[in-house]
Amino acid sequence: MDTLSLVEINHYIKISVQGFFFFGPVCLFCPFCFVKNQKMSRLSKKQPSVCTAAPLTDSNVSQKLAVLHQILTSCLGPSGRLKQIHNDVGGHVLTTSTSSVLLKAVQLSHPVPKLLAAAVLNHTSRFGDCGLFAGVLCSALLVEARRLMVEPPAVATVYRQLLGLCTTYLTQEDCSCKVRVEFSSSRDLLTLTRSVLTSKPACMLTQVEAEHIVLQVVQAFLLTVPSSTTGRVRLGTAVTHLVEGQPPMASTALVGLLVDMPEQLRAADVERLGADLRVALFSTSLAGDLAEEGDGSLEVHGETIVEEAVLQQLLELGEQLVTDGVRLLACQKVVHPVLRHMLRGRGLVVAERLGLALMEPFVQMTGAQPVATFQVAVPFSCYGCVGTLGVHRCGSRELLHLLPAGDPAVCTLVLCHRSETSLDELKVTCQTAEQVLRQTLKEPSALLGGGCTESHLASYIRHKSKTVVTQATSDLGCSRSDYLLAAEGFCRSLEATARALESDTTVSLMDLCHAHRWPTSAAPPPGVSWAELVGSCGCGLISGQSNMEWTPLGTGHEPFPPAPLINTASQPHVLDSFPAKLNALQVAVETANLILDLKYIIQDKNELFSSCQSGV
Amino acid sequence: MFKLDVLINITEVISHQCRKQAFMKAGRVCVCNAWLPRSPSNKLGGLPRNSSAHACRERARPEVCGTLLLLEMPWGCGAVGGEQHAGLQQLIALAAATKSFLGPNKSYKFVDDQAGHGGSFLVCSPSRLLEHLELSCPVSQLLLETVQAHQKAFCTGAGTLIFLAGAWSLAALECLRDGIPVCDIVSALTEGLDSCTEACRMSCVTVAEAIRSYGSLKSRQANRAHGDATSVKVSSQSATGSDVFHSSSAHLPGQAASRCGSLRPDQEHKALASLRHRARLRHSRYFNEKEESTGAESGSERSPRCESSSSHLCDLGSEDVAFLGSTVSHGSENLMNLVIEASRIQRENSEGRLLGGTVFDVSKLATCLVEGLWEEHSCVTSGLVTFVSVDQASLIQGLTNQSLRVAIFDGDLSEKYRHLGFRKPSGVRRVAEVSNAPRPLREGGWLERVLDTLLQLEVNLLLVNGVVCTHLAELCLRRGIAFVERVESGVLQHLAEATGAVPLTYVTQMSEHCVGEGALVAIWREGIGDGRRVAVNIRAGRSALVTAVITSTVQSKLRSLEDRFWGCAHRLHHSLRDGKLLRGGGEVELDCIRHLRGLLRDGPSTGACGQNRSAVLQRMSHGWMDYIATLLWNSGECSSKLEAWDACSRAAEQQVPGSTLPTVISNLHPQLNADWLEGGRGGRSATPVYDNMTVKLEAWRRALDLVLIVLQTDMEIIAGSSHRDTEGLPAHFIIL
Repeated sequence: MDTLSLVEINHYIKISVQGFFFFGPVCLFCPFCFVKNQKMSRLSKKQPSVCTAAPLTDSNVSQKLAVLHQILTSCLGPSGRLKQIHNDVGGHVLTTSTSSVLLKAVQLSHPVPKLLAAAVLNHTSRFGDCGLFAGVLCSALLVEARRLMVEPPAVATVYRQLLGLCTTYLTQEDCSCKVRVEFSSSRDLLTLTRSVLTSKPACMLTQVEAEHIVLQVVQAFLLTVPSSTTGRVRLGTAVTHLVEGQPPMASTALVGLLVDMPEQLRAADVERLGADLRVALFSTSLAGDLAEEGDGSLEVHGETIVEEAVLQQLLELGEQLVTDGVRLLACQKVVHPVLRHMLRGRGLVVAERLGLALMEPFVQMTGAQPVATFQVAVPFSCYGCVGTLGVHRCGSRELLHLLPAGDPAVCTLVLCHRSETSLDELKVTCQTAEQVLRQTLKEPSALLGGGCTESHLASYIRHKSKTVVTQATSDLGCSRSDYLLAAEGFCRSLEATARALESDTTVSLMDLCHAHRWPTSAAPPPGVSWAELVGSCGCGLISGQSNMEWTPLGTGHEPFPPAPLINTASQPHVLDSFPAKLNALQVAVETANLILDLKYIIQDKNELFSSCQSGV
Repeated sequence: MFKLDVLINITEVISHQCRKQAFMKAGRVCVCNAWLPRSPSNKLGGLPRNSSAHACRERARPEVCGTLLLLEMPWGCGAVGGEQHAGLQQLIALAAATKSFLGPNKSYKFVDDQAGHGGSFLVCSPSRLLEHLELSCPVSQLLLETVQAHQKAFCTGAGTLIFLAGAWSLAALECLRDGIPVCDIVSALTEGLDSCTEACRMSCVTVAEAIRSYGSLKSRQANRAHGDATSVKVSSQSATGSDVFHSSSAHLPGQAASRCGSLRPDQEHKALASLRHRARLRHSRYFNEKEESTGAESGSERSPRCESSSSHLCDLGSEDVAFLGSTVSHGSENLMNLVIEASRIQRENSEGRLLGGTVFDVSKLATCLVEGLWEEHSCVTSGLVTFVSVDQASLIQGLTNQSLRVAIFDGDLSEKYRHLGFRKPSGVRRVAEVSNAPRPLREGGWLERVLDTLLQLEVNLLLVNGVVCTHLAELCLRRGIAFVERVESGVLQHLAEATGAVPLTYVTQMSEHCVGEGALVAIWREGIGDGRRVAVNIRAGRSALVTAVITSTVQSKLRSLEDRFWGCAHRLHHSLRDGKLLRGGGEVELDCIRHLRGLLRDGPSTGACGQNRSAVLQRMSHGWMDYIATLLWNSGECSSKLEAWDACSRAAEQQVPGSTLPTVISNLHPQLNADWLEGGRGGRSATPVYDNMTVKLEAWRRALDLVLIVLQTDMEIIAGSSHRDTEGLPAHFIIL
């Protein structure tokens, strides 16, 4: 926190051999040179960089980490709370509890929370789910590490070793908290999707509506699985189409693509078009302007008028399309009205303004190659084929429905909701669910949800660390007490993530046999024993029996190896994605280690982009 | 069973839980604010009927006390932690501003910009009020978004939405103050609304039944006036049998001549029997038809209205449509009469051909606002009524009674106009090859070509979405080609379909088959508009396009009248589309209150969970009581809000469905009853009042969604603030 001059910085660089540096934009010039302020072209004296030593001991940083921890913890689970983000000058208001949306919208200034947020965002961009879990676990690990009287680097090495133990346990075949996903029935897929969808309260869905949407999402996913297995098999695409103002029960999954209805096309005309229509796809603008000119200038000779010449070329292109028997012209951008009119007169359907997002699925569905210029004749091989055209009606709007010829795996998921806030949240959640389902194809396992995996893992690590302590201390080179304290901290962090799923009315218990999490009412009526109160565990696999014993989750107890469940006929109600959770665990521990290993933060204080803070 | 050595740690867990709860709720909030009701007995709030919205704007930001610390950091985002009550309080304050818009008598409000930037606005609907208020709190953005989405979908019912959002926010706030946890509140409110929605669907009235019951009621009244013995027998049967029609049978003024033909007694008997039969079946859960989701028309085929459950709607006569309109007019009788007239004209023009399966097509309705005339001069005309300049008017006068050829253009009619999506190339350098060649006059060339095309195709009338350039306008005037500018694109489409014209963007596209025929023009009325503009009427063949001309002497009132007109039109449209109606005037809300009380009686009441649920459902029903009381007070049926509450509570306590609000009110003040009716002010008219089922249920659902979102939000994060902004922050902000 002290302001150091460059000389002292050099000094510190020499003496600290190990450790990582976090560099802000560092200026290595003499502190007396001047910085030209870009906005207001004033010259101001350059500020030296600020170096902060041992950032985690700073109360400032730990307060910010605590706030971030609180924010992420309160968002977790179906009883999580929502956050409203706005910029106080009347801009758009975002209400969400999804980590990817939340962390992108919140602009953090301090490097340490920024690091955490960046790690979580990286994880969610790849895996979709379990972003909040990663964030909560990482901040819990940091909080625990701060509480311990152990050197942070030692804690980091112990965490690393324990992460290895977790990964080994989770990836082995007979892990008790892993469930094999059966593709012979849709039950597991529905459970996975339901777990993702019901964990976001901002979607504002009743039970019936949630079931309906779960069904549509799984249906859309199954439609993207190709039925032919010859050649290279790859998953198709599911395009999301959003409709605001309709109730969620109007959502549906359709084969094929939806585009805006061309003007003056009636439903009756669409039916008359028939089947197996040749289609031409253009990625350039056919609006009569030259898209490729960039910043250059055009030289026009003689009396040529550019627009008329371009229009002439467009009309020639249109003639060629008609001669080649094309029935549907699709363009990513705008089509000139004269060309549209001419083609309409000759019986073609013109679909314009497709947008970039629809181009790839269109290519996949029809086999058409996008043509990037209108000035050359279109090669015959660029044409594709679409099956039939239909009309899909959603509310008061009509959309043109393109059905594929053959069986390409392209579908559209139409999502409807009453308000924009809920619709945005629903869209993100359905995309996460789709990612989860795709990952399950690669790795057909799932982990028990509802906090059961975390409590199970915590008790496993607690037990295992006691057995391998001698071996570990000699491998890692730390003392026995350090190892045991750090291991205890690791387990408490895992239990804290499980407890984050509690709501105002529930507390978490853990059973002393299988180490699952049991949510129970926080204010039990007097005279009722706890055995009668507990219904089933968080994932729904075990139901309460009288010979079980429970302890509140997070309190000390004798370490025990969690027993596997044998011969259970019941199915879990809540499942988490295995690859996402495993990666989230790894990301959390590795980011915590990175932050624990930070020795210095060097920040450049020159505000090159602010117009009034350049102090002299 | 717990082990002994972990007993000590239970307190830590429980205190952690309490700390978490305390952190989440961050202390009690005292809000000393006149807008917020304090005690259950006085739930009315102190809002006078005609308050200025400006005062409301000031109150939209109540004080909040939080308990988090401030840290000095240069910039970043500020996190406001603690109370989510701030959001609920903001909702309550916003909803309080729109209470006077409920009911048939809407009072106007002025929104005045004191800073002098925007001027003043006269508003008569809650959505317009919210649009004109400069609201900066995030909850107000959410409310505005919800209201605008509802308006876009239904065009009516926003007042109900906002009122119930405020009332249920108050219920949630009181529950929070009593220490009921948030998830209990959420689950109880959701359960209450779902169950009430189901009950309302069960007790709805189909349009045909409503018309039939009213017809039978009229004939009963007529027969009773003649003292017919058989009719007395019929009427006693109908009184016991038809419990689906609860009209104000207690006090009916003398009947006007019945417009629906009175049925013969035996026909009526059969009709009533079938009515009873159908009523019985509906109340059974198993025989009820599978209800489609409200407002959704999913599926790839467009099912014509006739094939769905309300197939008999296609046979509605014009008297039935008039009756239906009067039941859903909700106080705007004059404007509803315009809508009914429009429907009659549409039916005539289509010669009995079904217009897409319904008797009224709201998409083919347009409005024209004329200031300077009295409101009684509002009328409905077939075709389009719009304003043109005086020169055009004289031209049009010459073209009256001729069948004209018409060309339609979207966009401007000028040389410089390009279609949307066209980017003009910048940086064009012209290299002249012959230096002395004179440049031809481009402008003149274009004009010549356009005029030649128009004359060649014998076009008499041009309808343009944009404007016509002045040179072309002069030329057209000289050659006797009339044009009308600034026509809406929807109207252009309808006229294009009716005349067979094809809407074009550029004149170069014009050819013989793009020109339509059969357009008729006329001066609409003499002496309308100021000296520079004249109103003309354009009709085309068999088009179902109808324009409602809305007039008023107060110019600022025109927009509100137009909004109310569209509200009436959409209410009629929804009632025809749904085929079902809910009993209005507070009756359906009374049913919901009774239903909630039934739930309270039957449900679990012991244990913390049961008690919480009871408390929440009780407060939810208070929200509906407040709604009914405000409705009664606004419509003048009760002289004070206290009396309205009293009437409402009594009616809710009575279990017999036949006892309705009017009977209760008349019982309260029997001597005043006659005065009210004779005075004509307030009181219930003979026509029953109905509400649209879809609109109402959707408004309730959206209101509850909004309340739940705000309730479940516990933190407000202000992103992107800089160092200057964070200097004056109050003490409960944390900067990340």
